[in-house]
Amino acid sequence: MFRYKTAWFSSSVPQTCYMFWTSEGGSIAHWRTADYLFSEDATCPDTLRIFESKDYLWNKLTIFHSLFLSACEKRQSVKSVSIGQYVLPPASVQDEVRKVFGQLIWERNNEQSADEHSLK
Amino acid sequence: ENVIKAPVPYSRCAACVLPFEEVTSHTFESLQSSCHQSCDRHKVLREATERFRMHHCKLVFEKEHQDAAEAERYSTAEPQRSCKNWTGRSEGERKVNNKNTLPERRWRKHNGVTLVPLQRRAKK
Ligand SMILES: [Zn+2]
Repeated sequence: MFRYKTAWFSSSVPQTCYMFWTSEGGSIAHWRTADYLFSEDATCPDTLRIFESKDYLWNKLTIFHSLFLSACEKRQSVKSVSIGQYVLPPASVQDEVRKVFGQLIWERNNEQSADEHSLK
Repeated sequence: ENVIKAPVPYSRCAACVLPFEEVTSHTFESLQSSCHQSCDRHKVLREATERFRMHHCKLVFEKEHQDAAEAERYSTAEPQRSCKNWTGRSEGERKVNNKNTLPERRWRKHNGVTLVPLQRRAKK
């Protein structure tokens, strides 16, 4: 699924996501060069460091929520999951989005898949 | 009860349906900015993130400016030189242009100043 792709993982990401990535052929790289940056917690020091880096501020890096990988694992596919719905912004941005919509897109997706689960 | 639980329908934009294969952490932002019809969620997310970036760029700028001013104080030669390249391009901007993604113009427009890595010049 992730062959020829590189990723950086924040220490906040559960081991299962990390293992899923590598078991599907993905490799690990430094956050500056990795194709995908995954974190679960915007306030985790390693993630915070990226949010405040010039790479993030000027080159417009995007960090994705590791829930994306959980969703891929659940569906055994990357095709039916849109990574664009799993953007993990800085905590202050999350607060602003929550003020408007109540939750972030991935929080909604997560709830939905939890509902799907409970229906089974 | 079921009705309440049903997800609220919302419009989907290009960023909402971007497939994994076509986007990375380095390209998402420019792909999103080039899509003119953002859904409400991505619009709010983008604007709030842009505010965060501007605020922090300002902090970095102020810090570097302060550091440079400090360096000036200890240097006797050419006290004006840090202003000479004021409109010079930043390191970040060059990198972005090389990658052929969106330049920093938007940011500059809002602030009227350019971020210049003053530390580097101060070392000269
Ligand atoms: Zn959208």
